[in-house]
Amino acid sequence: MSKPTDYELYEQIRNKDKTALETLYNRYEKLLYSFAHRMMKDQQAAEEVMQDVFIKLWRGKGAGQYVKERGKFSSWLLTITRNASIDLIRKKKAQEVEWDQRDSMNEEMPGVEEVVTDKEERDQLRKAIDTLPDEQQRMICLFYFQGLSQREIAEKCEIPLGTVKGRVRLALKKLREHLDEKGGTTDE
Amino acid sequence: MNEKQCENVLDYLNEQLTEKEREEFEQHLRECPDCQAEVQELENLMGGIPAYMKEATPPAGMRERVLNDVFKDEENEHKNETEEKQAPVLSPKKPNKWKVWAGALAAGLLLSVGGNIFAGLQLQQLSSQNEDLESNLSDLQVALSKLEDRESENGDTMTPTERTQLASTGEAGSGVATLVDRNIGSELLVQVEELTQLEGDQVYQVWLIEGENPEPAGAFTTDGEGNGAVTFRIDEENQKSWDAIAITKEPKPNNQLPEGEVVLQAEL
Repeated sequence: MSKPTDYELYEQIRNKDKTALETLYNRYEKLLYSFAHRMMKDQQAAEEVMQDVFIKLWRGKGAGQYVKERGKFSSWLLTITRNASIDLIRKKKAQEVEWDQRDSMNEEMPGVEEVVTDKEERDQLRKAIDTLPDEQQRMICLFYFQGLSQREIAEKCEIPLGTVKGRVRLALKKLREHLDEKGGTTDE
Repeated sequence: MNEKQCENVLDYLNEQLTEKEREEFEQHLRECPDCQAEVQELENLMGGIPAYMKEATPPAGMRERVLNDVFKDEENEHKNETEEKQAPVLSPKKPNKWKVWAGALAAGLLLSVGGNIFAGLQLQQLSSQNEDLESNLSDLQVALSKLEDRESENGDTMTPTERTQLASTGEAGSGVATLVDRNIGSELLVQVEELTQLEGDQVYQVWLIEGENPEPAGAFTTDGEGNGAVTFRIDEENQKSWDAIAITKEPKPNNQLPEGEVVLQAEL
């Protein structure tokens, strides 16, 4: 029996096939958990994110509904995982102190508090982000990892609202360039 | 107007728009090639990032926890926060406080009988004056259940804020009470086992006690083995600093003050 495609599994999940959900879970646990962990910097919070994602998927309504126009299934899964993470960050943040500008980038950047493992050297993202100018690092941190709104970013960085989009785009683009360079040389 | 919509690209991607704003933006997106290109480009740039993230090892047992919760969610049961079988042999820390409380309850009960008759008369008057009362009420209930449906679809996460073992006052039985914070208010989950069998109209009634004032917090009956569970929602405005929780065996459902004996109790 050949392995079912993601989409086939998704269709079965829509028909409330528990085994299909389990199979899909096994397939993506590592990727999604790693991602959530990176976003949340916390094991328990990352697990909460996983729960949220799979509950949405199982319910199959609203955000948990995949259509092929959304692109690759795995990208879509990562998108809803990112959204679930941002959502939880917001909820948790509501109880926490305001982002402090004096905090170093490292403190806010996900990943640094994690225990160093033998996988550490594969953390090319961390390295690539580090090579960016501070301002670009900050854009990625605030937009991508913390999911802030345009207005919040403008306020925190004290820049005009109209310039935020351009700066975020530039930062993401530069990051991508660095990743592509490194990707070819260090991995595998 | 359109230029204004074009400024929503980032907030759209970060899901920072309200539902209405999002719909408006999506409408705009269908007609604006610039925004389409921008959204696509940003999505592509962002989509490439996860592949370079360091792998993290999932915690032990996560798979079972996540999948169990997913399938439990389907049954619309949020009892999963309470623990599975444990046999607590905790005795209440300050039993004397309970005697005082029981006395206060008896006094309160007498007052409430008088109060209920008075309230009953008033109610009769009210309902005869206002024939719409019932239909208003049912409208409200419909609205409320819609709200609840919507809330349950949000899949909000819950964190137990307080968990306490319920100790038996002498008879058999044990249980766990968990207080869980929700987006709006909080939820009390009570799970018990090995309680004595109920008879007739009897129910087990949960009470939350502030000072000397008990408030009903859900009732349940038990199965053949004395197991039972109930969830109770505490609205934000009813949030109090509860001192204790108790379960009594009531002769009938819907008592507003306890008549029966306390079977399980704990301080909060």
